[in-house]
Amino acid sequence: MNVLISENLYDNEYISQYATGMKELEEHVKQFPPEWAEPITEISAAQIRDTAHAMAEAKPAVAIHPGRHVTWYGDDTQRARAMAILTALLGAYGRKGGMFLPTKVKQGRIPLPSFPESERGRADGAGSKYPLATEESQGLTQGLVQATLTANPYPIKGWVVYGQSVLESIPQRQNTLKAIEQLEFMAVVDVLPVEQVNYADIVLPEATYLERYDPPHIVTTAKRPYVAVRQPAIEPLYESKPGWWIAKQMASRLGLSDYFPWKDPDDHLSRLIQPLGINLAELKSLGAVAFDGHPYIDDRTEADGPVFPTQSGKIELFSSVLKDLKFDPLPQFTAVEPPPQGYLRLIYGRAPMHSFSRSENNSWLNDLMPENQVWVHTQIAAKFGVQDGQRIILENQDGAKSLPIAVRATEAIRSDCAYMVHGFGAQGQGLTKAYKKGASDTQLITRVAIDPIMGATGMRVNFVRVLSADGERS
Amino acid sequence: MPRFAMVIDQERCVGCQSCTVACKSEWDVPNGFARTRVRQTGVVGSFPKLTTSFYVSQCNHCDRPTCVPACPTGATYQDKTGIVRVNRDLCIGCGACVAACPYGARYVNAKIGKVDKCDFCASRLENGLQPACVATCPAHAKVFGNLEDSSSEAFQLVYRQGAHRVETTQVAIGPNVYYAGKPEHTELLMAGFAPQLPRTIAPGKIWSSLLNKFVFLAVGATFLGQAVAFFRQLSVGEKQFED
Ligand code: SF4
Ligand code: SF4
Repeated sequence: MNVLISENLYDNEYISQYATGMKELEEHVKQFPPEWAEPITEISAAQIRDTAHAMAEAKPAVAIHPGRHVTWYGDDTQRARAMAILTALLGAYGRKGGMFLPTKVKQGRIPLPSFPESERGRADGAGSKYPLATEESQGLTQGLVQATLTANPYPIKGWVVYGQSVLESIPQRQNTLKAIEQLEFMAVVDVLPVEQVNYADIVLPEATYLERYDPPHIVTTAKRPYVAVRQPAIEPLYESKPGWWIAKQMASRLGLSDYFPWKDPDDHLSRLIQPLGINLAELKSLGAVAFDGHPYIDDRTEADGPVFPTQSGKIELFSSVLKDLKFDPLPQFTAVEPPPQGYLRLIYGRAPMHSFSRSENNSWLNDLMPENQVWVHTQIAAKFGVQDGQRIILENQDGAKSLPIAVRATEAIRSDCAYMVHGFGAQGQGLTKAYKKGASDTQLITRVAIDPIMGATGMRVNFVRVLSADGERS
Repeated sequence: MPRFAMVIDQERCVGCQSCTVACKSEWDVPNGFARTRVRQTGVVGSFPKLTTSFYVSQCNHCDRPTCVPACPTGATYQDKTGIVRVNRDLCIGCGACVAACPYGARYVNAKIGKVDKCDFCASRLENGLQPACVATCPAHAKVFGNLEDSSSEAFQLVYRQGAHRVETTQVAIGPNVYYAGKPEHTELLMAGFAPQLPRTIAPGKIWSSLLNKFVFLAVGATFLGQAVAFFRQLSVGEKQFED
């Protein structure tokens, strides 16, 4: 941004038409020349300049991809904002080659009775403690765990867990376990016997995605919006039931069937897609239907609503919303704490054949990748005296230990980091293929950095060391 | 006659192994084995300037296959389109062809006691479908086609864009799976997965393993039938090959 602005290479016209706060931004980025960024990023100032020039040359056809998992260090809103501002400077929102604007599709409405007002509000802090975390979104899992632990803002007595393995996916397992202990009741709806079913009072086995209908997938944030429908290929096996059936049954047994005013998935689906001009049979046979999109500013119509859905209707480079909430209105840099001597930063990610902690027990996928490895740089492996393929145990800064995991000594990682694929080291005995295979990153994430703006959980703030090499070869 | 070939674009492959799973499901391949595999090569360069690649392997349907002459019963043969196939009625599961393949493309399927390997999804081709792996690949990294058809994408990749075979000076049997990509991809692939000189199993061993099977299975009648089919296949197979 410093280069684009100081050399006047940004999209002037676009910014003056669609953005506010350019003067403040210009002033703000003066303190961040490439020479300042060089030691932090380990990218030479010259290369940073070259990159800025290449982007300016190609603008607006530049996509600054924000990445898939973005909660790292607790300052993630500001990092995301910095990327968004850079995108704006390149004039890339709603322009060809840049970022698509979403196109709404007219969904059918199924009117529901109004929900009773809650005097106490949400417990997880979304919309209150973290005012910018939207209430409509899925909420803040760590906020819910905290609220349960501390009985603040009010005691929480029961959980119904659905669609998530809370012990495998929420960091600070120790807190989640304690919170579960404090509950009077926990029901788990799950497809697999993951660890959390051991703690449940009731387990409701859900049918897999190949045996059930799910709500239609209506995607507006694509070049062309589309509706896709998931439908059962076979009847549910054993006692398992589709999620929609479980929800509807629970409601009706609690006397709340008014909140599910549809007969079955066909009825539900056809009412939702009714205004789209397609019928259910057509959608079912095609699987997915796409509609005309208006991804670029130039083809927007009135019906698409405002191009930029902010208060001012413009891109707010300088955010008055953040300022009013006493946050930095322009992104500030916060330094990342380096690993202590002898430790590596624990990072984690995914392998293409596995999804989260859901697929490790699948026979075919397990066959492709039965366990994960810990990647460390070749030089670091040599320094620690561990061989490629050797099994080690990792210990984090708080003394949490991993299951044994094989070392992958590789050039393909920074020398201050250790990487592993997430989802392994399962603790549910019912997962006959995945049980205790590989190591769990979640078990080593005992520390988190909460982003004060959005309340999200940064998880790249844990450090590990090689505790013991037992000499066993994988 | 078409001449079928597969081209793997190493620049496109992301190593997701969807192809492996599609193949497993299509052909009921037991765990621990595969008709098509994906393995990561090593890495060249030093952090952060690195290149790696994936080696997508399967039967190459070689022009001069070493597996065919290794087969003692004629179960392994090459059809008119160049597809190297296994006639399960004739296969005795002795594994001579497994040892003879420089690419490790074959395995003995213990469930059925027969050798199995990629046949370019011949039965799907007959129904006008693409091989299962090609139909599944999300990256369009596998291109299947006819090298006699100059308008096919496979032809273009092989004869216009320099997709190449994985061969060495010792092992040059004309594989029909080609690889497209940058020179460093080729280098990585050859460093990790160059074809190995075929091994042969002494005929005595094959026959003794065979004998064991016959003793245990006691399939005298079937044996006669198989023997007839075997000799027929041998002659037909050869004729097909000459065509
Ligand atoms: S790859 Fe192996 S099995 Fe396939 S034709 Fe060539 S030699 Fe035979
Ligand atoms: S499906 Fe395609 S991209 Fe995935 S591993 Fe196979 S060839 Fe590569």
